[in-house]
Amino acid sequence: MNERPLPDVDDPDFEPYFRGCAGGELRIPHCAVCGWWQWPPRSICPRCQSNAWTWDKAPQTATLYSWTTIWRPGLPGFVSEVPFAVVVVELDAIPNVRMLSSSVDCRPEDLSIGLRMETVFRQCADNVSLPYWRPVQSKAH
Amino acid sequence: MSPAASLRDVAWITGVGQTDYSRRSGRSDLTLSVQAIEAAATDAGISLREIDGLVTYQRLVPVEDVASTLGIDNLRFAGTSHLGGASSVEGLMLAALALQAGLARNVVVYCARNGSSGSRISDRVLGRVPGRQLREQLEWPYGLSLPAQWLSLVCRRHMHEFGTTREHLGHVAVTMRDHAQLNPAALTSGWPITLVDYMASEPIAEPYHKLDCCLESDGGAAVVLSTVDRARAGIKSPVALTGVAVGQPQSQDDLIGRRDWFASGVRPAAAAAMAMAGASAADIDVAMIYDCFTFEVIHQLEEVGFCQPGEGGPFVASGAIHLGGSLPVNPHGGLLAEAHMMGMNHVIEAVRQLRRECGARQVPHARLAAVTGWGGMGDGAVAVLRAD
Repeated sequence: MNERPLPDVDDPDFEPYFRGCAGGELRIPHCAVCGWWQWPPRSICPRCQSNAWTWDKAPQTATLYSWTTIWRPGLPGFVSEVPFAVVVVELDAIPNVRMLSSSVDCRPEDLSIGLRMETVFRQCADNVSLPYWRPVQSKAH
Repeated sequence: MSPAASLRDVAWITGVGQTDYSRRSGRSDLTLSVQAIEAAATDAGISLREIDGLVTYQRLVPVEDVASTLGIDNLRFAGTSHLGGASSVEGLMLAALALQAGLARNVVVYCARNGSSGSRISDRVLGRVPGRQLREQLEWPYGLSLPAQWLSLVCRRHMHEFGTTREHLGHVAVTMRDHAQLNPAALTSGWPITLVDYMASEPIAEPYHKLDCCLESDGGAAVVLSTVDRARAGIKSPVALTGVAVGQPQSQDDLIGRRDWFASGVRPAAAAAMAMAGASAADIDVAMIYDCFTFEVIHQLEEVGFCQPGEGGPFVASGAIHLGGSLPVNPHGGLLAEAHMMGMNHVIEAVRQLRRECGARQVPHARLAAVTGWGGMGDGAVAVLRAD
């Protein structure tokens, strides 16, 4: 029980998302009726009450909305990582979509709200790849 | 009758009781429940067999266990509150509903837990958190699992939008400790802190440090609610539940996707409870704010309307919430400095303040008290209590 908890990538409510992650893409439920992007996934569109979702590719750049630097984790597998930052980002173009993750390639003290960030996918197990976020590295992005 | 007035003055608190608060009670949760209820019944001047309604706190000691132990064989109303830390205040509402319907005559709302020597917060939250699928799929894989962690995200955002500082949070922590020095029952009695101590406190989930977090403690607490005629015939000064309401935020099971992180369930609950009571925030003499963490005090002061949105930090730094200030908050020390009794200790303190029983920490002329409850990711409950 000292391993990090992994998501259930076969959960039908999330399978398209994790399949997208495995392919290096953020795929988010997008309402085919009213165009609303929804996160986290819900079975019914909160705007038009339809259930016609397509899992479409979302922007993989974002702005840092908030973060916490964790020193006392409540889960096994993270104790050796402290301190680490859990971040919440707002995706470019669809800022109503906020995603929670961890930052990589930077220290917690390098973070500030409004920081420009981009997705990095990391393989966590044989069949599990998860998105992380790092500061946008150069003006090439 | 308008909906807003439907529970006004229906229920009266006739008795309050608690066990000792400790780090290691050496007793079962059931024994703590029974001892708190015995104390509350004694305070109300009723025998245990006159209790005919029981409301317990979600996933704590079942009503059946308590009724059997107390020898209550004519239980006519049993309820369970379900709003996390807002459950103690929600329990008052359930009791009022039972009294209004005539289902019961003496309803006890209770909670008890070995929250220090038994299960700790990290064990409990994993088992009962709302939106468990979202937590397991989207948050636990990144190491986020505890209230201190997800609420620290909200605190950080408030700091960014409104200029709230760690010093502001520190004023809440120090004020609660100051108050606890006037309360011999408080776990931190004899252990005051300064702002310097606060700033040096070890980090937990920044911006939260250890002294931003409530205590983990063992104990039990209970209140008896009855009708006005019984209350006025009782042995203590009657206290009316003159307003009570619950409220939920948008996307109740998910904070991250909530459009407005600061729009909690406390806001609609406060508006409804104040309307029911025919009162406004300015009328409140003393407030019990659910202080699971320091920032949640600042946040709820804004949500109830004790100060403007975004101004909670300067409000607490002004000394307003200290005894002697314009709105004394948690004279008992709250969850941060008395004990974590799931907010039932807040209800008890409100009643004792309105009865003028609080000695060195008594708020002079206290006639109207507000009590808030805060659960999970922003469930809210608010009660307004009035001295007869």
